[in-house]
Amino acid sequence: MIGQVTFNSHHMSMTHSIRDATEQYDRALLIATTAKKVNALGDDPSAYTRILAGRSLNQKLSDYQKTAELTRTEVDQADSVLSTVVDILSRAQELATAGANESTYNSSDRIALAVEVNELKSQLVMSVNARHNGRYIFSGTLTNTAPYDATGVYQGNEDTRKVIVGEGYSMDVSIPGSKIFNGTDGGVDIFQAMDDLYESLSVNDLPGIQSGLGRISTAVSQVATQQSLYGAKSAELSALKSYHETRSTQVTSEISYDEDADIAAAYSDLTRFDTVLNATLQVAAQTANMSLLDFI
Amino acid sequence: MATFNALYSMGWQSMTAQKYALGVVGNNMANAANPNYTRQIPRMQALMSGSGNPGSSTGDGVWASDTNRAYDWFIQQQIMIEQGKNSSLKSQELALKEIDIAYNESSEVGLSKAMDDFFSATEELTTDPSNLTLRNMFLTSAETVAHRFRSLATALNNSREEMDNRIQQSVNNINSVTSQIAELNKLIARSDRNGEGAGSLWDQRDELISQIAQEANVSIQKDENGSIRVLIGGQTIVAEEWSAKLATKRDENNDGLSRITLNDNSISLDITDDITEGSIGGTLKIRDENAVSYLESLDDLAYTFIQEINTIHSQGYGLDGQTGRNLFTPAAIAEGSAFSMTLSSDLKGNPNAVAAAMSSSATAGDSSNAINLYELGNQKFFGGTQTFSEHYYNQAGLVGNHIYSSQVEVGIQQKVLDEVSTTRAAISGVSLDQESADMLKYQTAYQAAAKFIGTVRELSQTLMQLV
Repeated sequence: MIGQVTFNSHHMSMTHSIRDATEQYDRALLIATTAKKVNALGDDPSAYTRILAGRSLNQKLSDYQKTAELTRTEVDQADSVLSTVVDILSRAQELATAGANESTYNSSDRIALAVEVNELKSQLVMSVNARHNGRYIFSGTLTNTAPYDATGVYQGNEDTRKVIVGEGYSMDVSIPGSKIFNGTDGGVDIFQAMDDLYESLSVNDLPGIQSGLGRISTAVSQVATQQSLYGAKSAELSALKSYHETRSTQVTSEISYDEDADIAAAYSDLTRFDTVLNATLQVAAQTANMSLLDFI
Repeated sequence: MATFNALYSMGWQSMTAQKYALGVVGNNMANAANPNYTRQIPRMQALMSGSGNPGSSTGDGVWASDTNRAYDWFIQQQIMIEQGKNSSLKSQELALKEIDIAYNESSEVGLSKAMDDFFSATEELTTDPSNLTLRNMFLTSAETVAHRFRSLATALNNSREEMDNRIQQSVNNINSVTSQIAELNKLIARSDRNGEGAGSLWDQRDELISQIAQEANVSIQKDENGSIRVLIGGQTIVAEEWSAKLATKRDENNDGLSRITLNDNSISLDITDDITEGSIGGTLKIRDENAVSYLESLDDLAYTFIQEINTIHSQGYGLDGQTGRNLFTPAAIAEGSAFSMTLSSDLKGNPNAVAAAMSSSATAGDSSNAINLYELGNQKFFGGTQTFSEHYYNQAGLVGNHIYSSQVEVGIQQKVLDEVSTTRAAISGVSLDQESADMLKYQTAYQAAAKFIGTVRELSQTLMQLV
C-alpha cells in the first residue's frame, strides 16, 4: 500500500476482501451441496476426462454383464434341451438293447419297440426345435426358421450366432443343429439312426438292430460332448459376468476418487470459509464507521 | 511598514484564502466515494510584499490561487494497461464458460454419452439382430448421436455469433466516448490557457479513457496543451479535438463475423489484428482461435465417425436382404460435418434396413455386421492414435484446460488490478480523516484571520483616540 488510506482505497480493500471470501465460500458451498469436487470441465480437466472415460467404460461393462447374463440363460436352455435329447437317446438305446436280445423278444415285441422308437423321434424333433425368447436355438443364424421339419430334416444353416460379451470378445452362442444332431463333422445323424433303428425293429432285422444300437450309443456321446460345450460356455459367461461386475466396481471407485468430494473435508471447509466471510463482513462494517468526524 | 489598509487587506485575503481552501475540502469530502475523483489540494501562495510598499519585508499575507491534483500519471497508465488485460481475460473466461455449457457433459447428456449409448445399442442389437425393438433403439441412438453433433456445432456457432455481438457492442461503447474525449481535450486546453482549474474535466476524461481501456488495448500520450492523444492498438483514435469512429464490417471469409475498422472520412483502416487486449481482444481470441479450433476438431470427429460407420454399415445387409446403404448422410468434406449430420434417408424410419448381417441369406440371427459396427468403437482412427471417444475426451479436456487456465489467469490478473486500483485510490482518493483535519486547520486559520482584522481595528481605534 502506497501513501495514505483513503475512503476509496479502504472501501476497495474491504470490497476485494469480501469478494475473495465470498468466492471461497461459494466454491466450498458448491462442493458441499453437490458432494462433487468436479462440477464442470474447467474444475479439473484431467479428472473430468478420466470421469468421462470411466463412465463410458462402466456403460460398456454394464452392457457386457447384461449380455452375458441373457446369453447364459439361452446357453443354459440349450444345455437343458441337449440333456433331454440325451435322455431320449438313452431310452432309444435301451429299446435297441432290448430289441437286440435274440432270446427274450420276438418279432411282434420288436414291432412294439419300433413304435416307441418312432415316438421318441417325434419327441426328439420337438425338443431340438426349442426356442429362446422366440428364436430357434439350433437353426444357426436362421433363428426365425425351425431347425427341423417333422421328418427330422435340417432347415437351418451352418453359421453360428455371435454376441459381444467383452472388449474385443464376441462369443459363438449357438452351435448349428446340423453339427450336433446330424453329425456333419463326421458323427452320427441321430434322426437317420432313429429311422434306421425303427426300420430294423419293424422288420425284425437283428443285425440292423445291433448296428443301430451302436450308432445310438455313439449319438448319445456325440450329444453329450456338445452339451458339455454349452456347460463350458455357461460357466465362462458366469465368470465373465463376475469379472465385469468386479471391474465395474473398481471403475466406479476410480470415478468416485476423481469426482466425489470428501464430505467431512467439504463441510469443514464450508464452516471455515463461512467463518472467514463473517469475520470479513464484521471488520468491514466496524471500520466503515470509524472517522475523525465523530470526534469534532 | 504596513499601512492599516494593507493590514486590513492582508486579513481579508487570508479569510478569503481559507474559505477557498474550505471549499476545496468540502468538494473533496463530497467526492470521497467517487471512484474516479482525484483529490484536490489547495495551492496557498504567500503574497510577497512590494506592491506599493517599498521597504516592507513582512509579506502581504496569503492567496489561494488554484488547486493541485493528487495524480500519478504512471499509475493512471498502469491502471489502463491492467484494465485492458483484466477485461480481455474476463471476456475469455465468459466465452469459454458459455462453450463449457454447450458441451454439457456434466449433466451426462453430452456427445460422449450419446456415442456410448450408440455403441451400447449396437451391442444389444448383436444379441437379437432381427428384433425390431432393438433395431429401432439402434436407429434412435444413431439419430441422437447426429443430434448431439448438430447441437454442439450449433452451440459453438451461436457462441461465436454471441461473441460477435459483444464485439459490436464494445465498438459502440468506444464510439460513444471518443468524441466526448475530444470535446474534453478542447475544454481542458481552453481552461489551461485561461488559467482556470480543470480538475473535474481531467477526471471525466480519465474515466472515459478507462472505459475504452476496458474494451481494447489503449495507450495515451500527453500533448503540450493538456490534451491527451488516445491510441487503440497503436492507431490514433483521438488527438486534441479530433476523433475517429470505429466500425464493423462483415468478413465473408469468417462466417460473416465482424472485422473492426477505424474510419475517418473516406479512410477505413482494418485494425482487427491490432486489438489484442480489452474485452474485444479477449473475445476475438476465443471467437477466431479457440472456438474455431473446437469446431474443426468436432468436424474432424463427425466426418471420421460418418465415414467409418457408413463404410461398415454399407457392406452389411438389412432384414430385407438389401445392402450398400449408409447409416448417416455422407459428408463430402470435414468442414461442416457436425453441423449437418443426419441419419440417411434410407435408414430413417426403416429399422429393417439396419445392416446387422453380413449375408443376405441369413439375416434373422446374423449379427456379424453389428459386431463389426460395435468394434469400430474400440478402433483407433485419426492416424491410428485415438478412438472416437478418446478424440472427444481430448477435445473436451482441451476446452477444460482453456477454462481452467483462464480462471487462474483471471484470478491473478484481478489481484494485480486490485493492487494498482487500490494504489491509485490511495494516491488520488479522499481520506475523510485528513480532510477533517484540514477542515479544522482552515477553520482555525479563518478564525485567526478574522481575529487579526479585529485586532487591526482595535489598533486603528487606539490611534483615533489619540487624535
